[in-house]
Formats: sequence, C-alpha cells, structure tokens
Amino acid sequence: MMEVESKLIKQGAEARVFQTIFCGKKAIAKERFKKPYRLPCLDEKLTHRRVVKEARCMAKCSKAGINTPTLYLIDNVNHVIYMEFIEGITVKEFLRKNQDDEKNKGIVEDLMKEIGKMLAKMHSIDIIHGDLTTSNLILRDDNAVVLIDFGLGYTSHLIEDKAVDLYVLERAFISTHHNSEELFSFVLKEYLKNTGSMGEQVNKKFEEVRLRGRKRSMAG
Amino acid sequence: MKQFELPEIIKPEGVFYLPNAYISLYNNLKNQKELQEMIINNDDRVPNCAIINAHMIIDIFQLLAAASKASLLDNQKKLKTNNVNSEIIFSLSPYTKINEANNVFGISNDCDAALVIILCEDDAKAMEINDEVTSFIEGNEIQLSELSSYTDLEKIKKFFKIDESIQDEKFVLKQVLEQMTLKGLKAE
Ligand SMILES: Nc1ncnc2c1ncn2[C@@H]1O[C@H](COP(=O)(O)OP(=O)(O)OP(=O)(O)O)[C@@H](O)[C@H]1O
Repeated sequence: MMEVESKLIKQGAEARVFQTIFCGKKAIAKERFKKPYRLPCLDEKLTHRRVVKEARCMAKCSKAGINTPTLYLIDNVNHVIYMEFIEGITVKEFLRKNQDDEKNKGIVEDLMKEIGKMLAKMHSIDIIHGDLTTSNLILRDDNAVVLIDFGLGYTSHLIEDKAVDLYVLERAFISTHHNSEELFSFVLKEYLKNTGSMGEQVNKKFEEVRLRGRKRSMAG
Repeated sequence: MKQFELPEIIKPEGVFYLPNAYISLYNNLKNQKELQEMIINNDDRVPNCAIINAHMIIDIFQLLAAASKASLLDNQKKLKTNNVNSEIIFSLSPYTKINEANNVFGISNDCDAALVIILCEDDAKAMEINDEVTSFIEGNEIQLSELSSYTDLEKIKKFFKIDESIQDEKFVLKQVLEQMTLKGLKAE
C-alpha cells in the first residue's frame, strides 16, 4: 500500500493548497474547487479560465526572468496546478524577525530594492499580480525573492491597474510592518528607477489612488 | 533501468495513483532507422514503451513531467495521440503538431542516444518489457547520470524559442517545463 504524500496546508475560499511530491521533488498542488452556488456548467468554465490565467501569468513572469515557482503540470479535469515548492520564509516573517536589528539594515534595504526591481519587470510586461503582500513574496534559501500566488493575476497595460497593484502592496506593508513607510519607499524608488516614463505615470496615478483611499478611510 | 514514482493526482474525492515510470539510457545506437520505421508502422514487435531522442532532454525530470501528463490524460481518456507512449513524446513538445513532436523528440536517423521509458504498475512487468527493449535496441545501456553529456542545449533553446544567449541550464529547463505545461491551454 502506498502512503498518501499530499498534505493539506491551506484551505482557502477559492482553493485548497497541498504540499506533495512530484516525480521526486517537493511540490505544491493548488486545487480550485467548485462553488456550490454557481451553475455547474458556468462554474466549470470560470474555474478553468481562472486556472489558465494563473498559470499563464506565472509563466510570463518566469520568462521575463522573475523568480516564480516552476510549473510542473496542470490537471484540467480536477482544476489543479502542480508547481515547485519554494523553500524559504515569507518576506513577512523575515521582516518581523530582522527589521529591528540595526546590523540587518543593509540586508533589508537590498531586499526591498529587489522587490521593487521585480515589480518593475512584472509591470513592464503588463502583468498585474492582484494580491501583492509580503506573504506572497518568499525569500528563498539562496536569498533570491520568489513571487507566488498569481490566483488573482491578469494581463493589463492600464496605468490605473498597475497603480492599484502597488497600492495593495503599500497597504499590506502598513498593516503588517511598523516602519512600513521607509520600507515601501525603497520598493517604490527602485520600481521607478526601472520603469522609466511608464513608472512616472504609474506613480502619479498611485498618488491619486492613495488620496482616494485616505478620503475613503476618513469618511468610513 | 531505474524506477521513478509519478505524482499522486489530487481529486476532490481523494488522491489516485499513476503507474510507475522505468527509465533507461542507451548510447551507440545502431538500428535507429529500423526502430523508427517499426514505430511509425505500429509494428507488433515494438515493446510497450516510448523511445526518446536523448539529445533533446536536459534532465530526467523533463521526461517524468511529460510522462505524468501523458499518464494523467490517459487516465482521463483525453489522449491527443494513439496511446500513452506516443502521448509522452507529444507532451515533450510545446507545439501541437504531432508529426513535429515525433521528429524532434522521437528516435530518428541522426540520433545515436535514446532514453527508453516504460509506464507500468509493477516491477516484474517492467522487467519483462525491459527484456523486450534490450533485444529490440542495438546499443549499450549506460547510467542515467550520463544524460547531460548527450544534452544538446543549443538545439533545445532553438526549438523552444529561448534566447540563445542564455547559458543557465536550470533556467532553460524551467522555461521548457513551463512551455510543456501551458501547451494547448485554451481560455474557453
Ligand atoms: N510554490 C510554493 N512554494 C512554497 N509555498 C507555497 C507555494 N505556493 C503556495 N505556498 C504556500 O501556501 C500558501 C497558500 O498559497 P496561495 O497563496 O497560492 O493560495 P491562496 O491564497 O489560497 O490562493 P488565492 O489567493 O488564489 O485564493 C501560501 O501563503 C504559501 O505559504
């Protein structure tokens, strides 16, 4: 009798995430499940489309040289994406452990710049991640930053979409890290350094989105 | 011949298992032309295996990923080719032309090294098929670890349209695996 290798590590609203073994390598299997409240045939179509989008976004980023989990297999019947397991800790954990240590200042700053450079590359090829947080960035054991969870990813050349993508990340920094302003400023600076005139437009829009956000939070 | 486990397949109601993969590597092939013809003609004497041009493979994992896909599609009755063996070869290609996949990843005239893969549930059965393979192929079985000396990275990059200035083999393998995974995916 064989052992079941797959262990559920996260049960989300849209997907179940398993840790498993794929042909001898540690892997992640992300299964999108049916929504009982949707018409079965429509549900099937939407779920399939979501899986395809997620995989395409990952592969496009990977092709552009962004570190992503390698895609291994897509099961279109059960809506599962099999991919490389990234060994490391989330940037969120890393910052919580290291950001207060004066001697790590340089390392943290370099990490933030690396993230800015990565996002610049991603927006240059018109990919919007859709869920940028410090939990979706993994600091791999070889010190490279890896971007995961393209579950809300899509393609768009719109400046507004890119600005909102950055805004989502800024909000994530503010809600989870205390000197978020400084941290995020390193990210943004490096992003702008690598995006030229597109970056300037995104930055302008970003300020607007921020302002809107602030007004909304004051009103609410 | 070396045994490998294919992945567990996750389904809403639980996992199911694919067969094992048994892989061997041959060099100094002498009868490639004859083999190719027999395979094309669906000759009864061809053993139940897939024979792959070793020069197009960077890492055994590449072949295992193709075998996993082929075996999964077989299980789901969604093969695009005649059988699971031809489907392995088809799965290695990022393009949807079956003939092209056979020409590039199957055995051909100028191919002097081949990987043989057998998909099967148990070791005894695999040994039986392997006996047929060794009498079918005129060549020398060598260690799988020697595969890298046959890998033609330049040819692979060209076929997969990967920038030829890229020398990092791991990066090339990643791109190859992802092109294989994404092949034929339609948004509808
Ligand atoms: N490739 C990977 N390597 C290592 N860990 C991973 C990988 N992919 C996901 N994880 C872990 O599993 C968790 C959940 O994965 P993911 O974020 O992709 O799913 P999700 O948030 O449920 O998806 P979605 O946001 O699309 O609904 C991640 O936070 C991370 O800890």
